[in-house]
Amino acid sequence: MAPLLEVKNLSIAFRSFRGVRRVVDGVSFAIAPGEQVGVVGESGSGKSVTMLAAMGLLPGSAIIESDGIVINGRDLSKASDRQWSAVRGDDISMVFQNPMTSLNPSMRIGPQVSESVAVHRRGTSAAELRKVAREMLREVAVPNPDLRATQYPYEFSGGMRQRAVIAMALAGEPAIVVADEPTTALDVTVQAQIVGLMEDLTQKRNLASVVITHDLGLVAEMVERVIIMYAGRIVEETPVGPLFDRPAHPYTRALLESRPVTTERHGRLNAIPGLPPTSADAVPGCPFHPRCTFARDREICRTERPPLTRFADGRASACHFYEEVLAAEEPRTGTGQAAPTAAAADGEVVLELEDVSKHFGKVKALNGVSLAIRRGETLGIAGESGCGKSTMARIAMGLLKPTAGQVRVNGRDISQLRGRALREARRDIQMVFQDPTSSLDRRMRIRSIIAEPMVIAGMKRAAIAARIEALMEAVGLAPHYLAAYPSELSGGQRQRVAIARALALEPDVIVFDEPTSALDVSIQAQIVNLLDDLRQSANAGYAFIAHDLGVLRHVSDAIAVMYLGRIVETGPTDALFCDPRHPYTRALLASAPVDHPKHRRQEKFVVEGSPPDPANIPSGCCFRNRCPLARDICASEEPPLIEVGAAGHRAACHFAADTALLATLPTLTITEQ
Amino acid sequence: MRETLAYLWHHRTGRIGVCLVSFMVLVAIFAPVIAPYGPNEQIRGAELMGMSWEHPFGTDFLGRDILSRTIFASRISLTAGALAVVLGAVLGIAMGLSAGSLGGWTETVMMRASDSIMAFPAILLGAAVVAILGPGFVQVAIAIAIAQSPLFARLTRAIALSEARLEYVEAAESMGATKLRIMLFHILPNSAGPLIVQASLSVGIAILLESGLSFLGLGVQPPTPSWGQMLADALRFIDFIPSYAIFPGIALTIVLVGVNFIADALRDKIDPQSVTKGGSN
Repeated sequence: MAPLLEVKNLSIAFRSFRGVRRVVDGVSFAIAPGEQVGVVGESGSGKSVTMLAAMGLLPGSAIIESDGIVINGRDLSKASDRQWSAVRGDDISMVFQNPMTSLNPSMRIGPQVSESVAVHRRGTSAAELRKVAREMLREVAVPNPDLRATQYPYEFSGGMRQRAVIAMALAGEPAIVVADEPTTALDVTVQAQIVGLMEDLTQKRNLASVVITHDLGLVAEMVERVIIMYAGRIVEETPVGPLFDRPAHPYTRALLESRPVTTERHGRLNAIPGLPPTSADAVPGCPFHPRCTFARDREICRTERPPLTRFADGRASACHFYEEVLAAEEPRTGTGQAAPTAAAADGEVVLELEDVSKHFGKVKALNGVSLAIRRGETLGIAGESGCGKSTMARIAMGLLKPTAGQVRVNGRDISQLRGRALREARRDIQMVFQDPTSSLDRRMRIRSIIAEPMVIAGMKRAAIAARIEALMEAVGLAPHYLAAYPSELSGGQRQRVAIARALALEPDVIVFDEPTSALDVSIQAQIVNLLDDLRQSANAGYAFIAHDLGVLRHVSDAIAVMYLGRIVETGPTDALFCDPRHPYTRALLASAPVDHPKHRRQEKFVVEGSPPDPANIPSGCCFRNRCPLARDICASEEPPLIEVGAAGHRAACHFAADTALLATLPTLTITEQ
Repeated sequence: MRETLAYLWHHRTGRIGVCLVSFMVLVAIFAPVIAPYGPNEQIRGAELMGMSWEHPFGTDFLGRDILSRTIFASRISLTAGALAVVLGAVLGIAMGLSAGSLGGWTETVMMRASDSIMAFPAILLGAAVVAILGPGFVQVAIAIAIAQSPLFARLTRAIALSEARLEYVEAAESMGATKLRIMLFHILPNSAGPLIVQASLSVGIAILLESGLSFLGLGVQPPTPSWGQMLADALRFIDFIPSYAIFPGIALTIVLVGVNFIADALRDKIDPQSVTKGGSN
């Protein structure tokens, strides 16, 4: 069958006043009708740019060269904007990453969904357009489509918006849909819903799809064939089956090995050393050779670009020694070294929250949360957006005052402190934020950034200089970066700077707020390993907020699961992952992307809906309106956090002790350890 | 700084702006060397002459060389413009920064004050200030500074509000930094880009305002030359000696065009979304 979309020898460069930078070099691929393909790569690999070029969506500053961009038999490589407009939305359409910004906020959902029909089939009557919008919304399972079509985007939750964006992309009945990180901006349980929806739709409509992602778990669930990109080139092309067991390129292998997975706990992660190159021409020879374990000192890797060689049906690798890579044993996550555990779990309590609530007017962000972190211990905090985890972090930091309850740092209540006393108390508890791009002052040099807490604390200059040197070494940064600005550093390096700054005053508690979620997979592993090292050397208690259950499983000694401003389950990490006692925990675990296609779930447990509005919390159990086990008692009585199973394992569910009932809800497939 | 200059130089209209402004600045600095006559030197019997080899721009009604007066007037116009913008920016930024970072009643007082200033047309405000302080160079600069401060106050407040939401401000707070430190060390440096663009736009407006006030006789007092005052003098003779008005007018135009080109180029640099036609590199 002729391919729907074929890109031949595509190269892309961007022009700026600093010169020309090539970002994609000689990429060719084809998508057959009805085929599901994943394009995987880290940021800067050229994956999004390639697909944008294939849709004619790149700005004028891009220099695009190719031997053809063929869609449905028409070569569009030299097409005008007008010709492209005729194709986009009709033959090919796109689902963007962030549904918060990809809908027009001042336009009703209905007309947005039917816009591509209005554009491509002129003369369609208004009544017909309304019908199309309604039908499409029904197809993507938006409840009450008649009403929803007349609403504005702000009245939709994130998951509902992404459904509307998908409806929009499909309204023109394209043959192929490009989805750019379609689930990255969504919550875990909502992600699972969208993945399921896309699977149903592509099957029902015999739609071809290209999913651009950095998430190998998503690939394992959604696609049949995978294209792996690195430094603007395709390095491997393969059906999804052999990808996970027999990767044919060292980069693919390294990516697989560097992921923390949810199904087991393992030793240090196999981080890929170094950084990806900044442009397609930056590294001579094989672009991956400086980070490759197979290259060793081989001359050819340094001097000659490996061509993309086809070696089996549907498989290709751009490695000089792909046979050696294929013959290597199955990729394993973790190095096999003992899993790092806390030095002493019996240290004194450094941070204690007692019955803390925070209400913003009618919005009840936090409701009676209690927790304690001991010196040397890491408490993982899991939950979806709106569960109050960030509010809790800010209260623990003394940045927000709780409405009720006490926050004790080293036994002293800081919740009522003000002015100078509060500023001084804050030094004992530091925070590492999610996005180092916004948490570091972009106008300051690295030296001043790391020095700032010590300057504020009034330390002597010589002492500060010595401490900075020690900190840079502790977080693994070369001293020459001290004179640089944050913009000159990569994301991972910036996060190292943020960590160094948090360590500067030797705080007793460090709060990590999603410290790895803005980073690429290979860099995430480096940072997770760094955190492991710090946990063993620095003498503090750690709170680790994350939505990635794999990372949480890896770093935490204990875990607290939050839902609507409450802790619904808490306990030692292994107990909680292997024997989850709250239906919401089970849903979270069941919704997490799988680690391997062999774990593709036969029966799915996807909770419907998204978390209710914290301004309007249901009576009794806060999870009852999404819980498949809900009975009358759940609406009338709020379940207390009761002790179940292992020591310290507590869950707030009326059926927490009823393991037979809970077992009807699937959870993670746990492999034997 | 060096990067900004490099950018300006690579920006097509930015480069023209830099050339025009540096030309006028050089003229102002080396006025005594360049000018063939003193600014107030009267040549008997040569009143109201047209263009000639001795007086390329002609002479005025007191027999003074218009070329020399135009050259010396650049000193007044440029320094008045720069001084007014510096004063206005300091005043406005202080208002806006405290309003945006502190909020509460500080914000209300500062922003209502700036609204009140904005309610008056700049020329009227200038006339009022001069009426109170008396005419003169510094007074005019103060008048213009007050008239321009609301622009800086509003812009600074808007930037401060959006910067204050970024995590680095929270990070500084969590280190125990005081409000003042966060305002001066974090929010202000990060607001610099848009403020510099605003300042460069304001220089043009300030020079124009200075000329306007001088034209009305409220600015620099005779015999010190300024472009606006020369234009006012020339008005009576515009029918038979057009060069009298044309050359101060051209000088004013050169500065304004140059300053605006630079401002446009700087805006392109900090906001690549709004690249003007001249901006393709």
